[in-house]
Amino acid sequence: MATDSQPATNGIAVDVRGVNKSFGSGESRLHVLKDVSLQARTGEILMLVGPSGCGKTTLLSAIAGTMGVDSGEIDVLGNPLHRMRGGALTRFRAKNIGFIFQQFNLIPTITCAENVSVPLLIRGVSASAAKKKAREVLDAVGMGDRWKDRPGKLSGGQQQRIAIARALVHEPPLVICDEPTAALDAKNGEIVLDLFRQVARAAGRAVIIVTHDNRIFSYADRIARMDDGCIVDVHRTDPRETAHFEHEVPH
Amino acid sequence: MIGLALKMLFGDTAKYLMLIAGLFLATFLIVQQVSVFCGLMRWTTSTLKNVGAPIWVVEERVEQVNETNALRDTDVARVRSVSEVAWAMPVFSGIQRVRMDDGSFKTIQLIGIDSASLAGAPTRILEGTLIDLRLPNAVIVDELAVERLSKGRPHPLTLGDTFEINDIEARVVGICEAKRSFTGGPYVWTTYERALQYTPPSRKMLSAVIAGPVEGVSVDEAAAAIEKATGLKAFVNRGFGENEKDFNTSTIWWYVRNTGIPVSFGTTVVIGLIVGIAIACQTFYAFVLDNLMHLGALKAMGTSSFRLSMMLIVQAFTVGFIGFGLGLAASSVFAAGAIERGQPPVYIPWILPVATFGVILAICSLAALLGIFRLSRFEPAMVFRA
Amino acid sequence: MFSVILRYTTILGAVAGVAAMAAVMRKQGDNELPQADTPPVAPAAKPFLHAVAATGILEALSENVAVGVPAPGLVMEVMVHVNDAIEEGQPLFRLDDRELQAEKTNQQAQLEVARAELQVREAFVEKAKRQLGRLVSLGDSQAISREQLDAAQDDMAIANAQLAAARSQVTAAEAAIQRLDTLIGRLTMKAPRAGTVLQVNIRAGEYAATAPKVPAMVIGDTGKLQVRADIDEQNATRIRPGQKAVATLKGDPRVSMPLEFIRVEPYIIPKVSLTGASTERVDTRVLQVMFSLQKPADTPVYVGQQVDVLIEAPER
Repeated sequence: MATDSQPATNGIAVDVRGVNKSFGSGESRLHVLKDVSLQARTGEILMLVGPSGCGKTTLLSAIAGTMGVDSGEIDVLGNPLHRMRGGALTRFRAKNIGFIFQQFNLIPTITCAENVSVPLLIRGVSASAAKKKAREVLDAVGMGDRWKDRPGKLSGGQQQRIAIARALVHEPPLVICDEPTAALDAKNGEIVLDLFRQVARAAGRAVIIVTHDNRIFSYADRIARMDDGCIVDVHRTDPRETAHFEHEVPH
Repeated sequence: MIGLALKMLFGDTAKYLMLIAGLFLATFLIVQQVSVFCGLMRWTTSTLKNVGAPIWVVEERVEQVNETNALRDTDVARVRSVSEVAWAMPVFSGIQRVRMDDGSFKTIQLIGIDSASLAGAPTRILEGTLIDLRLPNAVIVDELAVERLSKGRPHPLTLGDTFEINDIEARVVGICEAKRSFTGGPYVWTTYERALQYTPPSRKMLSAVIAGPVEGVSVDEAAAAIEKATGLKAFVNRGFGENEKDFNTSTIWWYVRNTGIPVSFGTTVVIGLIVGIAIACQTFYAFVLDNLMHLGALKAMGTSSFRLSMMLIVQAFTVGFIGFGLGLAASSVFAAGAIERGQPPVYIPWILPVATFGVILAICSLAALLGIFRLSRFEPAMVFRA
Repeated sequence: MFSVILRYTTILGAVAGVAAMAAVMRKQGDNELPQADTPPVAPAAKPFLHAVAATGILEALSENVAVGVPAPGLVMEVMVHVNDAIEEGQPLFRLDDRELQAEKTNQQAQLEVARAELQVREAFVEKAKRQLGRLVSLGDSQAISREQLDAAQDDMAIANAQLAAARSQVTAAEAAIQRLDTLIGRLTMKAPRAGTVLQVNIRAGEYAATAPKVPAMVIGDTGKLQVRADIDEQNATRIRPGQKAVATLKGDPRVSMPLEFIRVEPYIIPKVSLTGASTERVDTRVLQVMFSLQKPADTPVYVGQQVDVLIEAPER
């Protein structure tokens, strides 16, 4: 099946071509995405930045396969999302995409390990195997000792790390991340973003982050700026700025 | 995922308790009220249980056992003359008064049965022997009579003790087990002839004729033959059911039609149902709303709608089963106590818990459906909007 | 921790609830009274496929005789006891006859007086006869006058007439005594036929009325019994002469006795309750059918006993 295909060749993980999306109709019709084209490569962190209401979250939703578009084409990891519907799209998401939500959306009534194992459970892995894997990943994000705790007991940064673990536990080729630092202070934000960079680089994944927090722009490999439904520009960041941060990240 | 659903459910202690409480209340109200209603309705047919016979023949316009028009004495012979009838015996049944030593009165249900065959005699004698009923002035009383008629005596009513029915002496020769009557009076058995002596005379005294079919003829066929041959009404006596020719059915429906009892119980049952539906659906919906972001996240992460629906159904049915079980626990404690004391009336037909379970599942299905409906309107993309 | 305890407590409670309900329902089932399909004492099996049932009463075959009295009076003596076998004409009881006896004594005295008078009259006749004979023997002599002879003849005729009158007096007195004897004899009740004394409702010293509520004495032939069966008028059409019938004793359905048809009473009467109730009640009208009964050898049966009768009859 198309959803099971491996990441596309020549390093292009996401290829968005001429996408339009609008909400509502008639007078109140809102044209959110206007002929947007964008590419994300494997192994890089791509940040979508721009003011509120510029359409960056909508674009992210379209790339994640949680929202259809009116026109245009979206190839994610070689899968034509614009031609996929319903169950196929759901299965595609379950297999290929790791989600990190702005509010983390960790289930408060279950333990961290259980939260992390959710994507595996969705894919039909047995509960015990999923938990084992979840604890490995929790170890990897430095939360191995808190696996028994409920998310409510953890700080924002710790919760975000749990959310990251959850996004990675099923080893998806594409990680989607919405405002990762919105709920974090500066220090925790840095810790988290450092983790992202490891994630992206280490496994050759594509990481797409939507943010308007300019403190973290330097962690991106590329930054796509949006305004009023259009990509204004895409540029590479200065590697020297990021190097400055690297020394302060504790391990 | 099912485990996850249950963990989500149990994790929210307050809502979980609320859901359980609503369904518990609904179950308890329905089972308890319906069982008391059934018990009360069964009391109306106690005479049919206590005076056991396959066929009861009564006057043609009689609909229920507690209100019979008297037959003529020769009607026993007429019933016996029906070819399908193996035996037919007279029965007297009437409410009479017993005078206590302190001058107060107690009502009893006096039953007069054929002295030769003793047809219609109590089936479970606890003390004494049935045959002694043929002795002069002999009566057999039930346990309730022992309780009621012992007041003012140095020791509880026992074999050999006497009391007066309409100023005529009656001597206890047996104590038996019997179902309580609707009118509340204890059952007292004596022979048909003596029952007539105890009772102030009236022109016709025969309350009913009890009969049995000959071998090879079914009870229903025999009853039909009796009706055809005599013009009297012949009821079978199996128990409440769909058979209109069953005296139990006829009696109970008479009470349902002619008394306000079903309305008062029905109201409580409906209230129980409404309370159950309201609490369960409202709470479950609130639970779904509370978890909407998490469920939405699950949806975004690739959980199919079917699976999410299953999760909600599992959650709803789980609280349904637990609430139902706890409701049954409370009902059975109540019922056990009532059966032990004989008061208030309680009878639980097997269909009652089953039907209640069905009702609870329906409530839970409705609650789950509301949740599923709400969740279906939740686009996974909405998770991205905080 | 609390939620875990709560979770397991509620689940356990729910399972226990279902189990408890099952237990309560089982207990409830145990409390049910067993179904009584047949009476504790099995009633007699029906000997016929199609039959008319009736209640009957046993009578003596001769039909019971209620002995009456010709005139009301005090009972002086009862000569028989209940259950005595009696011959025809055997005295049963005697009423007070002292008044008649006294009258008889009086009449006997009168008879003596009449007899004495008769003797006097016979003497007078002798005397007149002698006187007349003497005069006749004198012949036609002048010794006696014609008048003398005539007077003697007249005396003779008078004496003869007086004798006849005196004779009639004796006969009349004798007849009066005979009448009294008959009247006295009537006050002793005698058995109209051989049989058994079934009931004695009178004792010496009691007053016997001519129309009593209960007969003074009931006599019947208990050697052979008959059954008077009351059949509800609604079943009357199913009765034909000669039908087979069986009677069972009320109170002992094991004793079953074959019956032989005698006759149908042609007049339908109101039934008098035979059920032994405290007051008799007219209930319905019944056809009475008589059957003769062979007494069972091993079980005593008695006149007046109630029986259940089954008469073989065509299907309705």
